[in-house]
Amino acid sequence: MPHYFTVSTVSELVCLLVSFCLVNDRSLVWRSLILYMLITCLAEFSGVYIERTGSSNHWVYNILVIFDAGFMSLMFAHLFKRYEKSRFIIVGLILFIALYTYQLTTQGLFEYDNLTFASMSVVYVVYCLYYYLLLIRDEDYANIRYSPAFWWVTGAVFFYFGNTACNLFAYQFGDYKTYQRLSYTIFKILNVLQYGLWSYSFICKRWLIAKSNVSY
Amino acid sequence: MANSEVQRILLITAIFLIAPVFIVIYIFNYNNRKKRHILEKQQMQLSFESELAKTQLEVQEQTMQTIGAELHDNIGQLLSLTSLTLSSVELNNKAKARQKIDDSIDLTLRSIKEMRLLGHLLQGDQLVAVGLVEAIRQLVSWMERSGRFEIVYTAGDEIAANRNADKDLIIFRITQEIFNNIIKHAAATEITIDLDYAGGLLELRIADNGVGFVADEAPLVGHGMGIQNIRKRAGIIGGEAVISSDKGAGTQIIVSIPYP
Repeated sequence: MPHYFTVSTVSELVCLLVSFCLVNDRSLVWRSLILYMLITCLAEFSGVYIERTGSSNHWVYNILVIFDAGFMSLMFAHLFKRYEKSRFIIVGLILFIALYTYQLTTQGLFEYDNLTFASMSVVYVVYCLYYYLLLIRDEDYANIRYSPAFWWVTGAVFFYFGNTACNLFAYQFGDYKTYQRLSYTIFKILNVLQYGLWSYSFICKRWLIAKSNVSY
Repeated sequence: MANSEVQRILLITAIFLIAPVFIVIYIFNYNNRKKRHILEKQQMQLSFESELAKTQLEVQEQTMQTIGAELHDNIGQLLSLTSLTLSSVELNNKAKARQKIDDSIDLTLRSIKEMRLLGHLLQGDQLVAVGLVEAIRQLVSWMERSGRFEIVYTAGDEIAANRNADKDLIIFRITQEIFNNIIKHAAATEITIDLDYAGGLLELRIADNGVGFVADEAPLVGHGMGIQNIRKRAGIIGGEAVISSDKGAGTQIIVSIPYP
């Protein structure tokens, strides 16, 4: 049982628990993040379980990447909606479908789809940076210290930027085994950062709901 | 895991996170600047509104003072004279009575004319209704009435089509201030007023052939205070006032305001 509780799974589990504070949120997109966290946790635990049985768990992550693309695109589309830039997401989705189909037909479901994962990480980083650009250009002031959207994007940018950088500089790590060991630990740190920031973002969202209820 | 490997991991992670951390710090700084900028804008808007209210009051006060003085010095005198003439009418002496009644009618007509001019002056106060060009025209008519000045007033047609009530009020107040200075200090006989609008810029040029002054030597009360007010008011609405004058060479004031 303790094998299931790794740094990554614990941070995801904590984030899932915190995400339940969005149950009463008015936005369906924000509420859907509970489902996303639930799927992520299930996938992670399944991955650990399958690994422990001695089989390859790559197919689990190959399926999870579909949910990643779906929920991340949904969330960014929701964030860009305020600036009427939601259509931007379609480009990313088309790219995802093309890459995923290509990988699926060439190497199947049981080989880890690194190409789609790495490419989508770049796409998410671009989304995050674009969100920051829109935020800067926005003439209205928002207190970003308590902005759920800002912290959610920041969580994503930390993880996907770190991931992209990790992929780009993989050759610097030495042999493949060292790369695997190093990148695994770096991913743990990135996971803690991402889910920590997402948890804070969910708490901020909860505060906003409470605040708006008080003001009404 | 060896110590050197932990250090390596931490170093690599830190390097990877430097860029996002800097981006977040930059956004925080930018956002704080945005907040300060919005607060400053609100502060400026408040001071603009307060200045506008002050200007409105000053315009009214100036108009009331003029009307008060006119009623006392001019219309009051005319009506007193009318009353005196009428009270001295001797009904027995029909020819003399006729003459006095005619004089009284003449005095009454002059009073009515003066009252009408005053009414126009009051209309000038209602800038929103009559517009800047007409309001300045009323001011000019009142100035001309004294007979002390020969005034040439020209205004472009485009101004009426592009109106900004707030700016009109301040420009009108500037005009009042300039006229006050001319009446009190310039000893001028000729005044030319030109109101032009071109390329989003409204230009008010007022020149007189008065005694002039050395700009740096203008005292901070009276004349100097008026000049400072003109510059300050033009600045409030994003414009500027250029004053050129010299002793014995008259004065020219050019007020340029982005308009509307």
